[in-house]
Amino acid sequence: MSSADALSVRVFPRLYRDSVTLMALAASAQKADGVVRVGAVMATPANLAILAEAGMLPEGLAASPDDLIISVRATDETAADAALDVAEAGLSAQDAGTGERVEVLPQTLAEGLAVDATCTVAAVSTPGTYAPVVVEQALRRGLHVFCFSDNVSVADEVRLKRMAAERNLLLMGPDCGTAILDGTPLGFANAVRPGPIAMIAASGTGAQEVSCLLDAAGAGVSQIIGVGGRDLSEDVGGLTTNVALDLVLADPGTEVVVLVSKPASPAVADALLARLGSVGRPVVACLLGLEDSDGAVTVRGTLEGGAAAAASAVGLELATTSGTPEPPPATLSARGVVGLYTGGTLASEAKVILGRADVAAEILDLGDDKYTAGRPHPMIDPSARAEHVEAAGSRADVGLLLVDLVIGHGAAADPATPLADAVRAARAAAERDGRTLVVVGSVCGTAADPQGIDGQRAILREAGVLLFASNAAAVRYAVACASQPPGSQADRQEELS
Amino acid sequence: MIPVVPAPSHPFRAAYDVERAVLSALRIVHVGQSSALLEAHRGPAAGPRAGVLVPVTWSDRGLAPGGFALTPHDGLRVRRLLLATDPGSALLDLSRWLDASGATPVDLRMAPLRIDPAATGRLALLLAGGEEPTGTDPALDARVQRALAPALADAVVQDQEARVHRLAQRLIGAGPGATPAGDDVLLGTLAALHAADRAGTATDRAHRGRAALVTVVTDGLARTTAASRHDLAAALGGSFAERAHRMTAAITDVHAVGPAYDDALGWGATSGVDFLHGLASTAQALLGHWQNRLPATA
Repeated sequence: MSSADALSVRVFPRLYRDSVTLMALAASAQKADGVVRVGAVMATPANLAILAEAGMLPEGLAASPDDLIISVRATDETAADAALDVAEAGLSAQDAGTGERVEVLPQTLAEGLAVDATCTVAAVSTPGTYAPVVVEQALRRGLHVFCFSDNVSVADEVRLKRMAAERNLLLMGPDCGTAILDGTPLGFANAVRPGPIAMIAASGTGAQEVSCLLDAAGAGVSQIIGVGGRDLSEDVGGLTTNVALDLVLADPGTEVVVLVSKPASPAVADALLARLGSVGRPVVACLLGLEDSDGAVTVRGTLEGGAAAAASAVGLELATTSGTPEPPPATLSARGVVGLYTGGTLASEAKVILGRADVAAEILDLGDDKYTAGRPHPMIDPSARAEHVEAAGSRADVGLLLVDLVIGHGAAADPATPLADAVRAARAAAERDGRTLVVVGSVCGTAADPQGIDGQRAILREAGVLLFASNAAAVRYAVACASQPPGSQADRQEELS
Repeated sequence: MIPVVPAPSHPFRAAYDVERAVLSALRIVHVGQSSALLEAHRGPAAGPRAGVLVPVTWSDRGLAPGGFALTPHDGLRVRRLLLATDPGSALLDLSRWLDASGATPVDLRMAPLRIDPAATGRLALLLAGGEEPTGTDPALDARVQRALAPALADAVVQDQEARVHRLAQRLIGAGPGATPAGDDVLLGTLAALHAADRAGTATDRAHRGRAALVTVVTDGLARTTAASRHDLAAALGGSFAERAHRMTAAITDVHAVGPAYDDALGWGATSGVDFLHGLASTAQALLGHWQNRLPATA
């Protein structure tokens, strides 16, 4: 029996579960530590024989065809029992619904389509384990898919995106945060004005920042199509981006195309830029980290740069202030610059600008999986970021703190207040130590968003946050502060007095 | 006049294939997302129908033999009702559904169908291309049962009684799922045989082979689950669920192959594809037999 030497079996008399549930139970038990094999079958004579032949059935076990039998072989008894507990918990969860669940919404794709057969998009937000099955069902029904679910394997993503591309359907995601399709927002999205600019985005908050900057400039969007953060990777090869491009080029409401992405695979980016260069209308490729260049495709390495180029293509300019004059560079009492971001692409943009200026900084994307395990994204639950902000106030090496605030559909109802409270606490902690903590940031949003950008900005200003019109402008200010010779501004103040 | 199932039928309407008496005292076996399984009361005063299953379906599931199909709206309403009912003690009388729902009775017997070589070939190709493992463990891999489908079909069409017995016994109740994969393969096999038999295109050998299969499956019903037993018993009598009818169209019309395969992927974890394997293998065997016979009869 080698290293796998424990076999545990549980029989559930006359228990009926549909086959999808049985498969899911077996799959979840199989993932438990130390598990070698799992069998979850109805205890028919044929299945008992199969289990016995596979060494998965204890001698003398009695069961009838309508009993469910779950058999686990594992490295030790504890692991086997733990896996059985997982499986049994799955069965109990099925039962927990009995008697109390009141569901009025459609429960399946078919039911949803029965309610409204004109639907063209399915939004999938199941745990990642189940998402591929649901996505495949939706694609086979001819629906575009917005897949908010994460933890979907690259292999599944590639398979499903190929299937979608063959059907000329969009598979937005997995882990897709943002879309606006014919004016309908999905996931995190802002209430931006309609207009002639279509955005194809492999980065959620990147698309939000660009669309909000365009909105402030008076320009609107025709479509925002999220494609998922891995779409421009070598494995996926831009499968959805190419379908999205086909669709926006066929969209009579689109005059300018903007592509937004974090650093992409060079090969995929090159192929895409070659295609974009021949589409016959203005194209801006906002690819974070690339050098700016002008040609058949306007390439910009920052979100702000991309937004400015897109605005220019429709004869507009970006707003340069967030409502108040920008302050002169502050003197930092410590050299350290820390960025605590909820938007991943905003964090990436900060790294690009700081890197170009050779300013060392600690930039954290608090929406990354490693910070969100078991809790909501900080754009939904701002408390996780607030803890980090407060902690930064006690660090003697930190002189400047960069923050973002992303509002809009899907975001917290009032994300500014917990951030403002945390900023106050951090600044107070620094002052107690005889330091000044400079807090700099921007709000990604519009006046029409449910939270209202003006009110959110006012809350942050009241807490002492220096606000800028864009994330890039805020980071440039941080660069200016960090680049000053130590004490230079204080010296100037003394000279003036 | 009971309408014969149209293929493809419109999935969203109320329909039934159940006797009123069965609906008068039911207990809940299982409530799922698009179906519920009810069972005629087994108590001391129960009649001969005790233990008979009544599948109640809604959305695109379509009517199942001995069952009741609801509209999506009514399905959700009934689902809530069933979820709020204590499955351990409550007995439900649903006989008034037949009067109040406007449901129509449907004859679920397989219609005579002419098997089309092009459609069958395309279906077989599609199935061969989709053969990926269906479970995390060999015991859960339906490919084991699917692999027996061609041999069973060949044995039936050639009336090799002993081989039919041996293979069918390996399939009954075998494999993953609440309706084990082997049973779904058998359902597909029976569907193709019934269609050809009613169309008068089955050879005498195939007719005798089918009789042998019916015998061994009938004898083996106790070796599988109640849900599967219910479906197989109906199939032995020539009745199949609506979605089985929709899928059987895949061996008659090349344009029905893609939709049938898509439909199959949404039927349980593996049941739909298992059914198609039995169906396609049997259709191929029947076609092959005709082709082999042509020179002799020319």
